[in-house]
Amino acid sequence: MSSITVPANEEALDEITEFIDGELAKVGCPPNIQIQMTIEEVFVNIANYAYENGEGNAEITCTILDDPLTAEISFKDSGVPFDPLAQADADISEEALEEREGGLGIHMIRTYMDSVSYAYENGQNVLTVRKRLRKEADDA
Amino acid sequence: MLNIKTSEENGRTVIALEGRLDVNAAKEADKQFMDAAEEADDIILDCAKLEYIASAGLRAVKRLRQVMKEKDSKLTVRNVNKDVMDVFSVTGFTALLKFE
Repeated sequence: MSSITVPANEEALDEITEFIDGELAKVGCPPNIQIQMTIEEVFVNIANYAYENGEGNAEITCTILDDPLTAEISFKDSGVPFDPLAQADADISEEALEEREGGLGIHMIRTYMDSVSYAYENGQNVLTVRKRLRKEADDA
Repeated sequence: MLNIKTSEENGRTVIALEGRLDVNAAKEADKQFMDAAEEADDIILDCAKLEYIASAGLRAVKRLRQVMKEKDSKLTVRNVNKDVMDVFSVTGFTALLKFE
């Protein structure tokens, strides 16, 4: 298990992506674009909405599970309690997309991850995702 | 990191995206899209070298589409790789965009 703590600011996104890419590389896995998208969607939400005064941190923890090889990534923040999974899944019909701005991020997370869970623990929002890993790139 | 190159091709404006259209690149992309939309009535978004897009990038693409639609102009997307096309598909953007 490894973790990093970064300021809840969109500019820290690359740092988190590099951290997770590095954890995957340690077990012989290439960067996973669907995990990278999930990191962006979760972290942008934390950066934009977790802290009312805009100042605070996010802690990202990565655990590699065996059999089957899986990345478990947790995002913790100490901001306003918010369960992103409480909202209904996004309507992605053409008409709905014309009208609406938000909701696509959580829809992508739900589609791309094998599991997503939320807890509010010890004053922290904890969103945990799991994704099966492959040793080769998808196109290989 | 995203590079955006704009060129002309048989009277059409080609915006070529290269790299990652993430949240930090989306603001600049949006600005360049809006600049191009002001001038052009036929835009091709060339995604041959676009490796990554997430919802902030999708919003910029959607805004470009809306602006072009409002002024009765054309927007076409081409050369989309498998990962990016999968995002378009999962988010319903395949129905929203015109591909060639």
